[in-house]
Amino acid sequence: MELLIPENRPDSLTLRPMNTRVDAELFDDEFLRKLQGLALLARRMARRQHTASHRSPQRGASVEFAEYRPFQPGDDWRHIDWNAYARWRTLILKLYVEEQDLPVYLLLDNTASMQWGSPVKFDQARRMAAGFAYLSLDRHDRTGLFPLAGKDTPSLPAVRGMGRFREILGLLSACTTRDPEKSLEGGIHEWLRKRSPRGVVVFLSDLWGHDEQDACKAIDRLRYAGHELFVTQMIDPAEQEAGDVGEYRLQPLEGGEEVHITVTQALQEQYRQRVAAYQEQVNMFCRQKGVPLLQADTGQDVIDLLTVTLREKGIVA
Amino acid sequence: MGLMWPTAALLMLLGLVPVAFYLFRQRPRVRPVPTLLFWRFGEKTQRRSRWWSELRRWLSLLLQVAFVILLCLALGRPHLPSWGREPGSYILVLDTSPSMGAADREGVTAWEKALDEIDRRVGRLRPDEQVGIVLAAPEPEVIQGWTGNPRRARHALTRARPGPRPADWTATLELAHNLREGRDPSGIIVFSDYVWEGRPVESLLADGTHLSFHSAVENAGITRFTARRSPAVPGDYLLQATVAHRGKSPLEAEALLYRDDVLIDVREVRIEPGGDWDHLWRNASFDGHDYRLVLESDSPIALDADNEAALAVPELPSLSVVLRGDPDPFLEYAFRVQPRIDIRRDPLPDSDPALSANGDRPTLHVYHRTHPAEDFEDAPALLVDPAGDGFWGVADGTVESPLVADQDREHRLLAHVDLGQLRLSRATRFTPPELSDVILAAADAPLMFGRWDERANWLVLPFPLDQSDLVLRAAFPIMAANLIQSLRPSPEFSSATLPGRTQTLLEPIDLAESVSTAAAPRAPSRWERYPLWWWVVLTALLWLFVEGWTFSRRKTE
Repeated sequence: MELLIPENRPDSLTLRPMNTRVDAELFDDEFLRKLQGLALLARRMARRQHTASHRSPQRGASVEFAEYRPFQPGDDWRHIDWNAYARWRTLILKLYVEEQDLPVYLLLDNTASMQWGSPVKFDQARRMAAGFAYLSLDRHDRTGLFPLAGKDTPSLPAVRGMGRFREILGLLSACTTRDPEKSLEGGIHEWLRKRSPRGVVVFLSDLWGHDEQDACKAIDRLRYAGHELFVTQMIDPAEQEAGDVGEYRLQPLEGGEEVHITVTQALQEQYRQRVAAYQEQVNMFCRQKGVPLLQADTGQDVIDLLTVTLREKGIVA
Repeated sequence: MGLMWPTAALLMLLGLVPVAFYLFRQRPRVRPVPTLLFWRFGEKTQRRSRWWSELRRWLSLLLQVAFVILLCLALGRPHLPSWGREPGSYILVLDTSPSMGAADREGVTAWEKALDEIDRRVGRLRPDEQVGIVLAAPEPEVIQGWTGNPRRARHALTRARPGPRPADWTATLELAHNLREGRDPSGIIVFSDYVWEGRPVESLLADGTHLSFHSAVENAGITRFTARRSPAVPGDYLLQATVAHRGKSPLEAEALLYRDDVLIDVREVRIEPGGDWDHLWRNASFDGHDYRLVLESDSPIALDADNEAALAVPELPSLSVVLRGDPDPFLEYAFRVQPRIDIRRDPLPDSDPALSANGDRPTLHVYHRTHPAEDFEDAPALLVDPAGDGFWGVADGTVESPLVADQDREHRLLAHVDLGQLRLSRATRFTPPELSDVILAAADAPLMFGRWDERANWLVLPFPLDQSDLVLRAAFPIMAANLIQSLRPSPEFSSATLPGRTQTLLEPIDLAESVSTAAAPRAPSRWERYPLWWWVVLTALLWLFVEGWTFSRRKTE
């Protein structure tokens, strides 16, 4: 089933025939209506300003003092603090917080491991991405969407305006999972090579990488690139357990060939412990690095998750 | 070890089924997982223990095959060679004498032991074997002809019970021999305690195997309980009881006598070992009564069948007497004083006496100076001074003042009667017919003759009563009473059905050395009660459990 999204703001949610095809099951009317309500909530929470809401780590011309630093050749002499010079006979540069428009990049993990669970992790991730896109567009932020796997996977550079929301929905509808050619870190590295301006990166992934360090390395890559980072880990409760005992041929959605294994009670316990340890490792890593992490259970409602993100994580708002 | 159903061995080929399953092992279920990130450690671990898994797999296969083989083995009903007996068919002779109900110290009767042993032997029947079952009883009975079906044989045994009377062993063994004729190889196995009333001929005993279930236990019981009406005093009767005891210590018991289920007497019974206790009860009644004698004791008594005896004292039957011919008050009165007599005079001397009888009661026809018609049927008749010839003889003149010369004192009609001093004025000389007896005779003429036995009842007094002093003598009513008593159809003697003295004393006969005997097998223990196949099934199930556990371990570890 497909729906056509109006080109103008979807406040009225009047659906008119358009060219962009949207998966109406994935993004149904109810979901879109809830997004509207969520946007109102976000607007109330955010300061009302037309400029971008996110503060840049860059220093520049602004009214808000940031810090001092010694003058260096090439610096703008207009920012020399002459009062300080009078006192210390040293050229001191006065720096201000520069407020600038930060784009929001939605990095969607579309590796094959996301095509698993009930509901499918990838579907939930796409709905989360749609929610983030809606909220950021509603706040006049430029918003881009970048699936990580597959070179030919279509992406959307950062665009502004609610009218582009339909494009994002269409892109999300058309996006499919791919068997990853690279690790998570490799995928992030590939995206960073596009040299997108610094911005807010919302990384939607299950964080199942090639190895247990892959996800942390990927997050590190994004941090080092200077992006503000928000990680949403899609978790299906079923993959936290090894399942019933017995002999199985494990067919991985990604990462290798079929494996013959016998699930025993001991293996069940070991599996449970290793998954918990991995989750704890990711959690600890993000906490140490100051990266907000939302571990989203696929069983939860996407709107609820976005509300949590707004209220507790403060990312979008 | 052999199989009673050898064909079951072919079923063991079913053991190939699990082998086939293992050869064409089912592929494990396919299970998609998002990533192998957390499975690799398990794969490495399991690769290391693969040899152990393989070992478990083969052990599991071995257990499954063994399970199938054990089940097939159980179906084949295995037997051990230690049961050692030649294959053949057998006539099983089961003693139903009362003594088989004697219980040993554990309370198990010989009957139960014999049934257990028969059941065990029937259960071991091989496919080419058959059994027949004969019950040893007063009238032996084949309760099951030749059959190879253990269930049918067992079903036939459910109808068997110890009887109230000792078995007729001669008839029983002859029946068993007749039944086994023409079947070879075959044999006779006797299950008895050998408390037999008589000893059959050795040839019958020799050809068979004898299993004795006799237990040397103490017993006391009623060996006699009889009632007899007095021949002298009509209505009087005696009850006589005898209790015998076999044991090492004296018996102290009580004998309780019930009449029509009402307790009327309790007697203390004390018998020294090997002794008897006898008692007589005297009663008088023309009516019938049911008597029951019960022996109660705190001492151990092995046999229950002889602890109670019952009999019925019948009512004194009434009799019709029809007087024909000239009336004679003495003659009439001699019969009228008898109890339970219905006297009437028949005005039609030529009528059929049988038709004039009163109901089905026996009738005595008394002809005085007359004689029966020619078509007189065979009915009791007393002819006094008959006027004419007939079946009672031929008259040949008269004898004046005859003197009694001879009297048959043993004759039942003259019991307690002495007619030696009888005086007669005249008597008709009769020539008695053949097969008649002369009971009283003068030197040259019979004075009382006739035939009074089981076949015919007629008596002739060939002299006129009014010309003799017979009617004045006390012997006359006594003779009339004898006449009446002899005609009463009901037996005056009744006896309770009891096992008998031999059965009560539990004294077995000695079998000759030539007789093939075997000690009755001891009662099987709790474990031995179950046949081998039962254990095989149990083992198979245990095996199955182990297999299930092994399979589970293989799956879960």
